[in-house]
Amino acid sequence: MINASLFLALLYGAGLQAAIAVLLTPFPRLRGTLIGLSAAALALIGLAALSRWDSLIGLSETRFRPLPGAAIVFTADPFGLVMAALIAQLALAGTLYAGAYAHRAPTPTPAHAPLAMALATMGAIMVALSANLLTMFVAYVILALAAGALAGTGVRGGGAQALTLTTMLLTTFAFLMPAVAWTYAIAGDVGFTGIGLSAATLLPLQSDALLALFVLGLAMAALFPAHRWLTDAAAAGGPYAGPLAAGVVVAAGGAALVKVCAFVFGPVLAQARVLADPLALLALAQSVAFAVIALGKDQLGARLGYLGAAQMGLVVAGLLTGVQAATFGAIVLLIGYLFAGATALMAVTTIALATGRTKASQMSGLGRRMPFTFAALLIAALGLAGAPPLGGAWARVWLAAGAGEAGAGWAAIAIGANSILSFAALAPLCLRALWGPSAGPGTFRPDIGSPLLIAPMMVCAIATMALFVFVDPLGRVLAGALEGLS
Amino acid sequence: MGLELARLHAPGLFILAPLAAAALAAMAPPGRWAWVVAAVCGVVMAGLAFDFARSASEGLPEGYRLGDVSGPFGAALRVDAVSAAAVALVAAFAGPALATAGWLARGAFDRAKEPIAVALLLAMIAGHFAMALSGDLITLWLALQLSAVSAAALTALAGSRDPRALPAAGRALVAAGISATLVSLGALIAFRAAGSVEVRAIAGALASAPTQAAAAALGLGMVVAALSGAAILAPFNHWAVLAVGRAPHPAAALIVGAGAAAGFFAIVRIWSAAAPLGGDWPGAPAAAMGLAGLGLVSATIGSAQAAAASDLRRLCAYVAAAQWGCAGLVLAAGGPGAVAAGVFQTAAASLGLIGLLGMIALVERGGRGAAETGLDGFGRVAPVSAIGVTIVLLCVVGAPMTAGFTAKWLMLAALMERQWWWAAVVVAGATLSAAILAARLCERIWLRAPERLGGIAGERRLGWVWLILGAGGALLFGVQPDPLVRLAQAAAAALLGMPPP
Repeated sequence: MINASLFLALLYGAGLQAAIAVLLTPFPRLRGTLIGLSAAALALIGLAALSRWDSLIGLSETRFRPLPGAAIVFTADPFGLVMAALIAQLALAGTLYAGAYAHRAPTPTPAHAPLAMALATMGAIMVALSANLLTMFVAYVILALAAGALAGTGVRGGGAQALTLTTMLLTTFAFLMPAVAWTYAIAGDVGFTGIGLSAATLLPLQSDALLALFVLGLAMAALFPAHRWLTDAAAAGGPYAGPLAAGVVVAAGGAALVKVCAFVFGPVLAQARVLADPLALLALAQSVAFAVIALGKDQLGARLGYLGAAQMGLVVAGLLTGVQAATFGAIVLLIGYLFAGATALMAVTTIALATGRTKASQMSGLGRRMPFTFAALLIAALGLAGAPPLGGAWARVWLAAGAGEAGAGWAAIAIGANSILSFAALAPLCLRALWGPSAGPGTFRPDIGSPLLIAPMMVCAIATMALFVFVDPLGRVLAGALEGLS
Repeated sequence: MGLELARLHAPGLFILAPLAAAALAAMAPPGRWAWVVAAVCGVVMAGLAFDFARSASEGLPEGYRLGDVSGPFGAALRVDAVSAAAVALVAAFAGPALATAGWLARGAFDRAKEPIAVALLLAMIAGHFAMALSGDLITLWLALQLSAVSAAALTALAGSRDPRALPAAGRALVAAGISATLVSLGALIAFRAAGSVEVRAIAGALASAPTQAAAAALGLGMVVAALSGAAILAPFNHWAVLAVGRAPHPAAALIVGAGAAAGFFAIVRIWSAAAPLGGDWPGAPAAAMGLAGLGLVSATIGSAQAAAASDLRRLCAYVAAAQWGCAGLVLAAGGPGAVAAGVFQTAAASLGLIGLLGMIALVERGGRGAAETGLDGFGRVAPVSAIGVTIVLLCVVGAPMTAGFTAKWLMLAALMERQWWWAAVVVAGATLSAAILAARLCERIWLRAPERLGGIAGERRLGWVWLILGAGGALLFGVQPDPLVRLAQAAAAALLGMPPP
């Protein structure tokens, strides 16, 4: 009974948040407080669900039946549960940070932003807990629309909204929907555990074409050429840049790709190598090339955006190998990126709010006046680089081991290059900020160091470090879910 | 007793009741009485049509004859799940069009001409019902002419207030003339080849007398070409686009909705007679490819035109061409699943179009004209209506939890199952184009500042009738599609000559 209630609360908790956002629009102060409280409650529910994960496994919730033979079904599988719980934590950090930001920002945050954030959280959790492709698609569309609305809250560059919405809708309806329908046509089923995709049911190259449709359709995973929404959203800044470019949205994109690669394809991925290999190669190239581009960007948001897209390149490459070790590495890297990326984007947004400075070349000496913010940024930089003792280090080890198992040991060079470039893009900047000469007085607002702005950032930074310890338990939780892979 | 009698003679009533109401309206004095007659007729016809559609799942009599003799002296009406679906779609447009005509067409005609305008509206609907039910080519010819000439005359009547309506009416009249010529020639050729003007008899001739098959097929092909104009399939939709742009709202709604649905189902009936029933006839695959080609061209051109259109009325006509084109494409793939998907798509497309017509009514009666810019800031001026419009746009795109999604899903799954990859790409392309269009309109509705502020008042509320039907239906059949799926499957079985599911 308690387990079922926990599962339902995790599933529908963000819906309550959305209802509060709509119903209490005329009372902004009360709305903000209740949204914060409901986000905190959801995060606690997520932690509780995670602590009792083995009791929750197998619980399911069936809603509508919008298609003959296919229903909207959610289930508590190990991977979905982990991701849903993490999304709830990221959503709390994002919500609290946005609330604190709104109190201090010179321009008001759009009124629809809390609703969009709640819907994005709901969509992301639904993606994570989806039991079949149809449910995942429905949740993905909700998330795509919410992400489009969130992208409009950026303080720089109004084009991010149109780009995000267009990219999401185009890829979703042009690639993802045909992919899901095609899977249904081939297998006669859309459930992750019952899909009969096998060598016998697939024609030559059919698995390749299907995989390509899925990968291109999941734009939230930010594989080139569908990465621009992420880089632009990060560059646009604003309180929701974190949730968008490194929080709930990217988490859902990564989770959806994991489900497709590990649960829909599984062992069949081995026979889709005609396109899977070039796609993995493209993703690896992205992980290096985008990190190089990031180095050349002076605008910090854009730099983080490209670094994020580079990280997602590694995640996609790992998942496309179809090897258990690399898949696990990709999942750990994804989780690590979510926390490190969110930390970095929140730090950069805080710096912009406090000082008006948005460029890497303007950061020198600022760290002495904003020690918490720059400490968080430094931890995020180390996390993105995969430096021990942070979780990203394990991820890279597993990825390299998986690549070797898949006969692509040379991929370790790209993984290493990504680490070095990510480090070079952020760490020297943090060191200059903490110990370099001051760049001048600027328009610093000393009152900006509010605990509510600092706390979410610091919690995400701590989570980035904690992942190093939690990789082993994570491996035990996911072991069953990934056992179908080679 | 009376209800049972009405049910028994429903096919005849669909044609005769609007004609009788038209006569009554024409005799009424200028004023509201003619509109009241139209509204009552619309509500009654809608109720009768949905009862007819519901009873389709319980089995319908084989056929119904008006005048006891087949054409040219009587009308052979087909009574099956296909006509049930077609009649329901015609009524879905005709009901609200007639019920709201008195308000939404206000000011479009001189007061003295209102009774004749109402009579023409009713005559047009009679023609659409007849087209949906017709089982022989002469009835089809009559139905087509009744609806086409009425549409042209209604558009011309609006010319006293809008001079640009007259050229549009002229084009509609020319199109009516061309279609009359094509259908009469086609019927003559088919009659010479098959010895009958009944579609089923011609189909039998296609199967049993291959020597006559080519001529019969030519005749049917000419009829299909004429019907493509009524079904506003691109590229035969030029007249309709002009007429929809200038006709009063109810007439435009009937052209783009009821007429298109009736014309489309008439095409489908002829195709089903030629292709699956005449399975021994070697031209059957060519007939299927002909329908597929028509669908391909309409879906492609319609999608491109819709994406580029800035006038909401024209946009509605182009969306119709694209959506009906997709339906034609998937129907041509054959097989129970694909045909059912095609029929479902016609229903989903109709719901989307009904909602779009509601959007146009709201914007136009709000004094913003039919330009796309009229939607600017609509979400701030009328948030509830704007949510309805957004749902409708999502249905057109095929977003989950709307009927459009179920339709797109069924179409893609059926096309992929039959390995019609190119057709699946076309449907995906049309979806993409609809997504661009919807994103553009939503951006105007929700993110732009309104031209001027003001609430929804008075007659604009009548637009809600359309919007509630469209958005409500889209959501209802998106969450619970089973009734529509069953009707679509029954229609597919009837089209393919299979026992009902």
